[in-house]
Amino acid sequence: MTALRRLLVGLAFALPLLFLALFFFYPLAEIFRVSFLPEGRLDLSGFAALWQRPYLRNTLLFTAGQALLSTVLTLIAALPATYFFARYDFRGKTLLRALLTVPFVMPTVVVATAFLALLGPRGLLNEALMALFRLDAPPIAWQQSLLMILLAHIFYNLAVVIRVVGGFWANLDPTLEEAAAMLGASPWQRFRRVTLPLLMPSLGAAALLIFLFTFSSFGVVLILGGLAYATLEVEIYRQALTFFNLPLAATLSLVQMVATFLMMSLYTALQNRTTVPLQLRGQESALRPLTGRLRLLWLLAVGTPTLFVAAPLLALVIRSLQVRGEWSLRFYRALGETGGRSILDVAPELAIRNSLLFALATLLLSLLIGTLSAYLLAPPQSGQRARWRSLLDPIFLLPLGTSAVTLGFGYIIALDEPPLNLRTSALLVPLAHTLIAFPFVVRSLLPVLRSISPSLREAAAMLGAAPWQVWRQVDLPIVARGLLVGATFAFAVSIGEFGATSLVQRPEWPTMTVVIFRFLGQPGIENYGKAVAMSVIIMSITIIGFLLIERFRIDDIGEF
Amino acid sequence: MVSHETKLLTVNHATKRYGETVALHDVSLSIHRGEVLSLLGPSGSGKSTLLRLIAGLVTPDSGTVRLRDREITTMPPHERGFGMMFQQFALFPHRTVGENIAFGLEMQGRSRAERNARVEEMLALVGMSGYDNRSIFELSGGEQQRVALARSLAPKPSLILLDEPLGSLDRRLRERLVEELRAILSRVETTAIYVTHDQQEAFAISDRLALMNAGRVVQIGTAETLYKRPNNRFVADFFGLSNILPILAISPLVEGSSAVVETALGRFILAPPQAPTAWLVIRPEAARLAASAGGMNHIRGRVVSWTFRGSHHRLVTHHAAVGDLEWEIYQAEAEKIAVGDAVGLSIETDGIAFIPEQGL
Repeated sequence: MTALRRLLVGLAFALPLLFLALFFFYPLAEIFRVSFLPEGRLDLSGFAALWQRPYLRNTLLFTAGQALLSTVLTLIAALPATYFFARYDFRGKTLLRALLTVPFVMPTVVVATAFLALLGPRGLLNEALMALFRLDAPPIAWQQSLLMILLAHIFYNLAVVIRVVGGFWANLDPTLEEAAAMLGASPWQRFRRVTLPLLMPSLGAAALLIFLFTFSSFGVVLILGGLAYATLEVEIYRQALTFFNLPLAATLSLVQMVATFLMMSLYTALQNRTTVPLQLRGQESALRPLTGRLRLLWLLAVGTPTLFVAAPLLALVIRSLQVRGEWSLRFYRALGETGGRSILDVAPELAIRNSLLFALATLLLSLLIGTLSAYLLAPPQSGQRARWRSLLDPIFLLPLGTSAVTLGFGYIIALDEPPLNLRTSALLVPLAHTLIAFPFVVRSLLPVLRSISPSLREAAAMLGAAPWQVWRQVDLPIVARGLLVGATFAFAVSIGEFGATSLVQRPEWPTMTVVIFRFLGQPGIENYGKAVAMSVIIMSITIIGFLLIERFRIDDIGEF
Repeated sequence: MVSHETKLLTVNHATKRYGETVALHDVSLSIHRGEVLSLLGPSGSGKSTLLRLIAGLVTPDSGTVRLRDREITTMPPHERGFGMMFQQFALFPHRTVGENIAFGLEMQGRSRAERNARVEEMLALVGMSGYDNRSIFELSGGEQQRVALARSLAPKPSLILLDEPLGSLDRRLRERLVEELRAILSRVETTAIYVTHDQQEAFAISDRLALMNAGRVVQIGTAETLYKRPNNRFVADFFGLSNILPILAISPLVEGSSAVVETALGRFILAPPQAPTAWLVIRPEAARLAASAGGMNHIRGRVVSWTFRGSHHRLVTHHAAVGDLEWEIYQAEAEKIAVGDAVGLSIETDGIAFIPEQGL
């Protein structure tokens, strides 16, 4: 290699590290600084306040409590369905599993809007009940209630149980249960004494993931919980944007970061354990067909969650197409009209354009940073540089475990002064989105890159291909699928992102999710209709992206 | 002969379908108390389905299963009180060796002291004393097999079902373990049904065999009966008896105790067949090299293959009328034979059997 090429390669590999340093570690460091040294001196009173001020203490307790409740309820709701997915063969299984996974990729704003469309004061259910019983007021008044938040959290995380526990369960050798039966164990004893203990690591992993997700819940709680309920994330947002109490917001962010980090480490440890018994699978463990009495149980176990997942999304679509009981496209047409005089009355059209622009920028940036990172991490884990890489691996996973609101908050306190003043720049949004999205690109590419046999590249080189030709002819065709999946992820993440966006966005550069949130907070059927219509647009983009990913992803890549 | 009183379990006209495929077709058999019965057959013959049906893991579409005087066709497996050993052993990975063996005892509600004593006893039985606290991941294949056996015997089942319990082990280990298994089964005086596709294993372990094919029981009997008196071409084929000759004519001799059986290869003097028959089967070890030419119970052929097999020579002869026949020659003079030679073989009548016509 010539010195120039060495330099270029070195720079290319330095780019992802530089990106992480500037847009991840620097903002996080700023959170530390503002939290510990608000006035330039060490001051820990912020931490003391967390427990001394009842309001903050309640916020902490509520955050953990609702997460715990959500986790337990989701497990209960999902386990019966998980059992059927793991052990039985039935028609439409793949489709149903995909449908139950859709919520997991839905942006929070869309989900919140969908639940309002179903159960809110103007929701389908209330409207139907009012018409049916000639009521004057909506009988279901769940808006701004814990119940609504829990429902949305269950909706979100059913897929976690079905995928994490179900995948593990399907790999459990069914002859273990048969062996227990032959030793005199009744069906309940088989589950209690054999299946459940074996499922424990995967149940633990799923529970931790759900707890982590719901502990960091932002959009759902902000919209469905109103002023009455606030998780840490919502509180960070309020302290930073409403009360401008940056030190307190920083302290809350720190708490959030530490909690997330602890849960992520626990999860990683558990995940390593869940891979052990997979070798125990029997050779021919055919899935059982559904017969007789089981069909009824199946309907209950699988049908209920399916309905629960489909109903809000369908309600959202129906709501967007109905104006005062009439079928109409008016809400969609309203998206094209220009806004009023107030700065809050942004043209939805502008938000759509911005969102698409940001998503495109995120896609390009994520592919660049993600591909370079993947190449940096990909070579086999041996030799002198291996130790280097084993250090790098977790560093590139860290952004995945950082909450979006914390990140957004870090951006506004870190990137607002020279030498890096981006506060007034629209660039902050795609930068934040890229930081959230590029780990997905890395995760889609890494296994593919590692699967390319070096002898393929050597063979191409021996046949006279120059290095870039080797990449073009060998790597690219193999990596293309991973790139496509990564690109789709990046695009979809950017379109639906709300947590970080709500903190770093500029009023003159609104995005769709921010505008939906704003419309929901304003009175009038017109605003509500625009929020619903725009949610349907995001939902469609997300579903298309999801289908693309499901179609092209290589097995076991890009899950969580 | 075994009388009716000693019948432990009876399967009557059991049929089981999986969609279009018929796994069991009108199968009837019974097992006597204290015997080891093998279900032998190629893969897909229905032997595992029959075993699972007896276990209660599969319910028949029609037919019944009786345990002594009680019908248990639809009784769930955990109430039957049988033991089962699975092909992959199905040891519980979250339990130690001792906890695996104690599982059935726990289900019976035995006290801890009782359980511990029985676990000790079982470990001693299979020669693994002191292994209680081992993880099953630390065990070799042979050790796992023994733990699985100990686990299934611990609750003292009235019948133990073994589903190719040695199938996942390598050949040499299998040969050793099958003897051990036989010894242990006879020591605990249990009744057992043993599923295998391996003829040697079945011969080594069982008192009686049921040979299965395409969801039916083709022949039941002792190993010797099946081998020496196959009642069906499939049985002969399964035991590797490929020397099958069509019968041209049978003429009883005056005395009536024997008959001359004419084939394309020559004539044989044999005891007359009990049933209508069209085929003769000659076991490969029934032939001896003979210098004399012609005569009854004597055939001639040309050597097409001749190989040394340690204890014997394997000889393939060609005959214009019937094609190739295979022989095992245990004589020293077999060494002098070369490919292309014409040889004469005298056949011991003991090694010849009729295949009944209805068995075709």
